[in-house]
Amino acid sequence: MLSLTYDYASCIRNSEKVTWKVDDVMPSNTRLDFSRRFLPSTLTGSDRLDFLDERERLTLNHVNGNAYINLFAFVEEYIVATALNHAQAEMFGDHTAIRALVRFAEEEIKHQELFWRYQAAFKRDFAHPCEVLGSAAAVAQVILSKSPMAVMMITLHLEIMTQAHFTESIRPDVNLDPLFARLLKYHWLEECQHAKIDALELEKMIGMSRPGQIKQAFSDYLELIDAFDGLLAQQAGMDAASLAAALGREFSEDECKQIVAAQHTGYRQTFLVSGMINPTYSKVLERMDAEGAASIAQKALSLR
Amino acid sequence: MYENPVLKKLTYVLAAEEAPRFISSTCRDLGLDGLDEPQERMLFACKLIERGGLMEAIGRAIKIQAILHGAREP
Repeated sequence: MLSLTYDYASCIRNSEKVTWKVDDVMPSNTRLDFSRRFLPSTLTGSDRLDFLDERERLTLNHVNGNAYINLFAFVEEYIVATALNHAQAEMFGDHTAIRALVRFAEEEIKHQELFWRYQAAFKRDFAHPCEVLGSAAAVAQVILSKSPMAVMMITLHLEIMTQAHFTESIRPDVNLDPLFARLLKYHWLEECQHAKIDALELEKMIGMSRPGQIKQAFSDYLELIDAFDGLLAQQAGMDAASLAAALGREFSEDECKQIVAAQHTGYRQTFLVSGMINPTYSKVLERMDAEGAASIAQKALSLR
Repeated sequence: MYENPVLKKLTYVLAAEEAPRFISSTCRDLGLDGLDEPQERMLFACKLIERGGLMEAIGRAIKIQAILHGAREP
């Protein structure tokens, strides 16, 4: 089993301590400041592009930041559905778990509202079209078609990864745009509880699992990683077009390919590899199935 | 090992004496040997849903839980 050191009640207590309102974090009339970077270089691919000057890299960083926020709002769509399913499954059973799960879902919807508000401000203030992945519901359908244990594995991956982004890359970088960093700080504060609830749910599923289900979950998880990678490649292509439009610059075919490749590599590292090799997440995987954990470590290597 | 989730829910609703009797009688009607397998819990849930009212609500919770544990729609 996962040997977890927390429970649903402690998640609720922590959630109540850190709770916040969208209007307090980002008032609706907030103007964005494009004079500073939104994301640290560890979460982008733009440092690999020698043919961009400082101003152009800054613009690509802003394009990247907008896509980063969109990707979170995007995956939160299926996470809300998952949390509510798990809450409904607990009806007439563990009331503390129901409360933790419903709170989890409410917080995820709030995060979506915050991110959509940010994206609307970006669209208004950036002054150039900046395409991002749409159809969150269609992606939710793909994810939710996999085994529920795999869905919870990818959810735990995303929540743990989010925390690592903030604590290891965003919080230490004092040169980032303060509003962008604040958004991610408040997001992180609540994601800490979400990751714990994911692990508690996963532990219950493992406890009730039948032979073969854990192996199937690992296989489904790897399929989800591939599907996610395809979406990240699409976003990288959109970024190249958005950058060219924002700069009013026509890139050569080779430069365009380099931008797409750098962006895709950056997204892969940020959203896939950093989660797959995160020590906390790897420990959970090893406790579930050592062979499965090894296959994920191998997959992470192939994505680098 | 985890407690059978159906027994847990029905004990909460029907009390500790009545729940096992209700489960035995419903399993007998369905030709089920027990509720250890997710698919058995799914069939049990569908039977409860047919009854409507509170039993339908409990059945829906059991059904979703069975799906989370690997059951498929019958």
